[in-house]
Amino acid sequence: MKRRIRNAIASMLVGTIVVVGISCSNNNVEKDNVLLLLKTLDNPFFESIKKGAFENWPKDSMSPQIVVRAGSKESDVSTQRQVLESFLNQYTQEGDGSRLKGVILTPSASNNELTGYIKRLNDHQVPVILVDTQIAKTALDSAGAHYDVFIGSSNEQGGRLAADLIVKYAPEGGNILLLNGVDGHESAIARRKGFKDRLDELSSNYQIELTERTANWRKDEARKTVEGLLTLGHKIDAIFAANDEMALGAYEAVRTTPGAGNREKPIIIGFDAIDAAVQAVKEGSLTATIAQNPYGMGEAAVESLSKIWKGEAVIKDQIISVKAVEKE
Amino acid sequence: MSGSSARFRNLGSILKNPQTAFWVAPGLFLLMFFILISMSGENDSLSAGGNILVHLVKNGSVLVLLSLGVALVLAAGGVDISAAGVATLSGVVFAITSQSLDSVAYGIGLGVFLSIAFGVFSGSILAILVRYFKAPALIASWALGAMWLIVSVVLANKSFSLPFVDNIERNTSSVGLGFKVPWDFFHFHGLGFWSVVIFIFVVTLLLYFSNLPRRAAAVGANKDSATYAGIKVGSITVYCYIFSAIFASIAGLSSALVNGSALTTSLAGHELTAIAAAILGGTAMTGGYFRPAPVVFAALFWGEVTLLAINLQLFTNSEFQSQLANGIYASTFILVLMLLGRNMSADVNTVHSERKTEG
Repeated sequence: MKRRIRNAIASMLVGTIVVVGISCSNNNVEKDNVLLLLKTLDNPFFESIKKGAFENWPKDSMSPQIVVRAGSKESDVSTQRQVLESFLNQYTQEGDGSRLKGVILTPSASNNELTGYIKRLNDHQVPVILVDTQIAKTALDSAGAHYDVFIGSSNEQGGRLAADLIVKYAPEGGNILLLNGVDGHESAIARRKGFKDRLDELSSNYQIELTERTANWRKDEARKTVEGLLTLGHKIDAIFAANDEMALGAYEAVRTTPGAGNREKPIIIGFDAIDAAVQAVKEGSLTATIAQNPYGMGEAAVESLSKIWKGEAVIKDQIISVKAVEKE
Repeated sequence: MSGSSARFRNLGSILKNPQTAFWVAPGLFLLMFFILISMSGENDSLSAGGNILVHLVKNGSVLVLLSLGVALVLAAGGVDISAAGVATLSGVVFAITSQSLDSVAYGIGLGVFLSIAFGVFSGSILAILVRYFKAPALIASWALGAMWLIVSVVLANKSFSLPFVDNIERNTSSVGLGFKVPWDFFHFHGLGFWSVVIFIFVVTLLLYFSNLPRRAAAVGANKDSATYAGIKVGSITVYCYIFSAIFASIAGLSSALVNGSALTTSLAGHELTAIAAAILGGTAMTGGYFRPAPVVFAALFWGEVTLLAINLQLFTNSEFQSQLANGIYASTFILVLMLLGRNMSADVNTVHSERKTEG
């Protein structure tokens, strides 16, 4: 009797999974699809890109449906590879009739981790729109791959702007902490380069000691890192975090590490201007943040894809200027 | 009481013999602690030591609690890698509840109760699967943990409507707390610091003096012998899984308080670090040996390694380098202790040598 009950429960579980799986896959295969593949939904920045794409998606019944997938974190390139593999196998075929009408991608890696899949998308005439993060031209060339449109901010310009803000708010110089994103990400490389190049240009009149750490775009890692430095007595006068999540984590560390009451609060500059960071700037927790307009990126990606379908001309590299958000 | 006084005498014997597995993790902890004090930029060593302790308690409490639970299950011959999933969902439930009531005190109280109740629930499910349905513990706990992580992300998603709850601060990466944690909550004079220290101290003492860990070790060493000795193997296994899940759910509360919000992905992977800390604390991987205090020191030692890695200039530019650095630093210190003649694991010889000392 017990064995019968166990077998019945096991059969029901397996049956439920099979039915759910079939019903999900049937809905997608018969319609045209566009894949919106984000680094992660673990960060409000990418949520805004998704929102921009969804809210501006054509509502007519003839338009493809947009399907969202994302990795578990910003460096999760293996999930992106698996998703691309799955969509290529499921929705593309030789000749006409492919159901995949476009891919909007925020790459989790900037070298040749994804170029093979982009080449396969190119071979099936699937438009590829890169958003926020570039893939290195050398990697694309070596794979014989290309993208149709890139939409992003000038991360290097943002890094330079952050350096100017630090000089503005900490004119005496001092100890500066640079919190980097994931090593190898184009956006992390560009923001770091812009920041350090600008500080080098100003070095004759501006004395600083620069410390670099990575917190992998994550708030909790940034908090632990800054807390660890402050715990062992490092003096920090200013922090530039390559995204707002890390800036907010740094602020938490500065606020709660022992000695906070006796210590002058450092300047903290973020990047992305997510809602929480803009609010923190208004409250004075953060000094400033660099605004990118992720919603606009999602919107522009959809517009570019529509133009490609209609055969209209489209600008290949669309760079959106950044600006500083400071307390008025 | 005779059992307790015997254990007091045994503890004294164990402490006198530096060759037992008991001393490995505390030795590592102390060695690293003095090195960190010497690296500190503070002029006053006492204040530097205090700051380091605060950092370890604040950031290490989660791993300590996870390690204690995982070690108890390992001692009984099982394995539990659902701890991170339980901790994450527990933190999310606590955060949602703390925001959803008008009174912060009621919200916190209900949140603590629900989190611990969830721990009991999760531990019971896993215990039933492993004990009565003979599910492989590794697979069952992995699946359960993954399921709880998915539920956490769903609950944290703004577009998912929660019954009876409107407009609470959440996104897929975190759920905010309904109150701001005071800036000095985890400072040396803060309520949070001493609550964590006293809680871990009391739990460690209770684990040392209670019968459960010894019976769990007996079950882990040899189930048949334990049965013949009159130990209820089934019940002990169930209790171990339940306690592991309760510790994990309290770890989730601690993580939410430390971060000021419940994070949905930050604890993923911590179950493996907890197992490593349990082994470093002398717990036998195959079951049969468990001492709570060394496990606590081993988890705190891992926190020290992370603190050292943050402050050294080397290998901090990428996640891969940071993980590599942590492994190198930890391995170096362990090698030093091995060369000094410490037993690194609770194998049969170690247990027997400890029993000789106790005798």
